[in-house]
Amino acid sequence: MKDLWPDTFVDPSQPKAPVAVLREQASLLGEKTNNLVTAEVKPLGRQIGKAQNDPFMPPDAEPEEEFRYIFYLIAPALDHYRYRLFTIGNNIELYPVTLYWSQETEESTKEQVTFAYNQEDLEEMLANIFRAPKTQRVIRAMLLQSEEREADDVPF
Amino acid sequence: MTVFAFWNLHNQQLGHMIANLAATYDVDVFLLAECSMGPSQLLSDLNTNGSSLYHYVRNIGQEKIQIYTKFPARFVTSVLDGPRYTIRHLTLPAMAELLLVVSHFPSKVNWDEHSQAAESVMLAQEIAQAEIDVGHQRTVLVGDLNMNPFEPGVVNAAGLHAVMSKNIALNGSRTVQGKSYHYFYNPMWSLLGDASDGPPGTHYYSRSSHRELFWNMFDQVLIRPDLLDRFNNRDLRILDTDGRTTLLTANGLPDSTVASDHLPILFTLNL
Repeated sequence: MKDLWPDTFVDPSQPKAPVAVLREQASLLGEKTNNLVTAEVKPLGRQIGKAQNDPFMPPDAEPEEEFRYIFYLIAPALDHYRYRLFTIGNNIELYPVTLYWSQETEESTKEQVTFAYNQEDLEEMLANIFRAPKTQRVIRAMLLQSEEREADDVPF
Repeated sequence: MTVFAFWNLHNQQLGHMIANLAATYDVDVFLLAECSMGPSQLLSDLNTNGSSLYHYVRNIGQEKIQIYTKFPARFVTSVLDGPRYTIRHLTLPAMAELLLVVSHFPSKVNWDEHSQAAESVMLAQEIAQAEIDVGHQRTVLVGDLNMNPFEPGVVNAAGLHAVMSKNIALNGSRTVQGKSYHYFYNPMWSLLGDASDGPPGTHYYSRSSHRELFWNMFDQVLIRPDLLDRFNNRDLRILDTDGRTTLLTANGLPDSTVASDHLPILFTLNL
């Protein structure tokens, strides 16, 4: 029987899968916080996405099905308290990626749906979310309350 | 009996009215959305005249919803927060544990029905995971859902899956395309329109458009079947007064010049 398949499906020039980018970033947080705050990426399964808000899609485009992943911040010392920082969705072609997140302004907080068209876009958006004042506040609160809990738990 | 009150305050300074609600209805747990007052201000109002001392339940990640309790805040722990919801675990001594989900969903000004329904799926999955984490399904979801009880995000099996009949909810779950979905019971159906006691909804909005509901039931309480023997429909009310001052205009609409554009809801659980 002839094997008609190519020898490999790996293309080294291909960008990383969005979920792989998220998992890499998640693995870095614990080191910066003595593991008091960690991060985790959880698959949410396939969901209907929001393609109609994509500026490069026609306005009457139907929502598409996409793979969703949630990025959580976790405080292990607070009974594994979790905070949902943002969600991404992508179809089988990986990019563009849809980001669902809350943007805080001076007046209000708005739910945002934005699009990353390649890995660089995605990394830039993640950096913006990680550095956002709200994210900093949440991580600080998790750190402080974890430290308090650890102090309470010291045996004497 | 534990008395809960939820109110979207529309960022108004309503500390005096919350204190009146506390005194009139003997509220044990206040769940507040769009509350621009800080805890020190609100605690000052709540604890000025009453015999009970209220506590502020500290937030970690959720800043849009404030919780005040008559019991010490240490009995309320944070399980999970999202941008628009918080999931807390109430572990009161000698009472049944309760998973309390409080939500203020994105409004239709910002999100269409598709997005609200998609967010409902996420919230439903978060609740299911939290129920696994705490080991029970005595869950109540309360909040300003910015959806009516009949909208897809509230009704869909993969969404909040909230039904109008206790008998249906008591089946526990149903299977759709091979996947099982747990029910909520939505008692707000019974309060829609004029035939029930109290106002026809919790929020009024009127535009010059062809399709207009006028009254909406955005503020809702949804109850898991495992809690239904601890809940009585008679103990669920849409409040039109704080006990001293009416929350309605002379035409019977929510008076946002005096109070909020939403009316508070009050319910009791026999924990």
